[in-house]
Amino acid sequence: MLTSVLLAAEEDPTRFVFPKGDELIWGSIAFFILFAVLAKVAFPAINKVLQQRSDKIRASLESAERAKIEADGALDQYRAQLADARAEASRIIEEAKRTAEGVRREVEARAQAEAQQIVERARAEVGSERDRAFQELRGTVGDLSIRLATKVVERELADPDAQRAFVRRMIDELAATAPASGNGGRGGAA
Amino acid sequence: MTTLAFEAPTVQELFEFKPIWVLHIGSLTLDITFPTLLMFAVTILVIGIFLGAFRRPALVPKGFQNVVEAGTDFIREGIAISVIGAEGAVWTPLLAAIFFWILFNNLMSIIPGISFPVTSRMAYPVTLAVLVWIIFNVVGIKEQGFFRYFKNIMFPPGVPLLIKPLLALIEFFSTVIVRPITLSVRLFANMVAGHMILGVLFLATAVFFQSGLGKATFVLPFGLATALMLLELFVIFMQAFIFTILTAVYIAGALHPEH
Repeated sequence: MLTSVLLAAEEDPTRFVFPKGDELIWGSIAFFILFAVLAKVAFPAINKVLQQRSDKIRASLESAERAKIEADGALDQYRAQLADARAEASRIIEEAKRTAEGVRREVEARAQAEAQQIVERARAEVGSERDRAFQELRGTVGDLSIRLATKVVERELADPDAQRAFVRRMIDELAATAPASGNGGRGGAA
Repeated sequence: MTTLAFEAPTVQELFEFKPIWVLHIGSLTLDITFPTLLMFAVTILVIGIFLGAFRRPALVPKGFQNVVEAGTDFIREGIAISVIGAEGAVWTPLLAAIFFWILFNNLMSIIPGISFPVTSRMAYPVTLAVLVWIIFNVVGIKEQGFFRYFKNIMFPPGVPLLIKPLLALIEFFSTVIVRPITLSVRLFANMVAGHMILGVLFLATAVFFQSGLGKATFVLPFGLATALMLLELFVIFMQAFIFTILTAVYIAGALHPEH
């Protein structure tokens, strides 16, 4: 037995500190089997999957980097477009403001002109109406005066036409003096 | 009132096992004991873990594969590459085999129903230490050449002439003779000590529990044993790590004598 070769004394209580030959052989066999399986089967598989993982991660990182560059480019483009759109909007707003101001001034001027025309027309109509009324009033007053004077003096006057001319002259004189006496400021004979 | 006398278990009771089978191969006779079977079971377990995790590895790891990948990544990045350098990655399978074989053999120390660290059998640390010794010497001789390798070991630069002969002897002795011994004895002694302390405390727990002193008396040894199991868990990981990182250091020294 191998053990007896390696053990100095079979009954020595310290013999357990010496390696037994049997166990050296079994230990060597077991460890070599373990190492062989790990070195030939397990670790090639580990290394293969680690390499695949490393490749996959590298490819993913590169892809992500490319995507980031593209996204940055698109972002810059969108920002530029947004800036252009804002400038265009500002320009349109300014133009609209200017147009609105022009329209407002034009409408206001037109309204003022129309208002002026309306006022002028109204004044003219009022003047015309007053003149017409004044003429009518003057005729009526003359007739009434003549009629009244005729009735008052018809018995004493032999020539009615001369009397009538006289009355009219008097009325004209009266009319000429009307502004001074406060009857509308109109001068001249009818 | 009956009392049970507490007798500490002997070393033979804790570490010696009778053969379960005896194999005869020609003139060779090989015993198969409980630690031998346990060691093979652990080996199969470690192989199963790696094959289970990496037989059809997923590109995006999850669950079990994730855990085992983290373990191998720790060996690759934390030990192989950080100690040896970029070319250390090729040593990852060896270092991983050493680390996980020691780790799981150590873990048997605190598995209920087993409670025996396989590495407390001196042959297993010696097996690994001899293997490591062969590897770093072969690597050193292959990388540097036979004479230059031993010259670099024995005559480090910058040493005064008078000290050189003494230092050459010490360096040769420490590198070629002491390294495998310290590697194996460190692992073996730590696991033996842990197993002895836990064995004694759990035995005391059982004895006190059955004694006439009152059942509460078992609390002290049981509490101590529980606390020491946590310490033992730390030692289990630490010893596997130390053995593995020293292996990497020895290989790095053989590859890069200037360091």
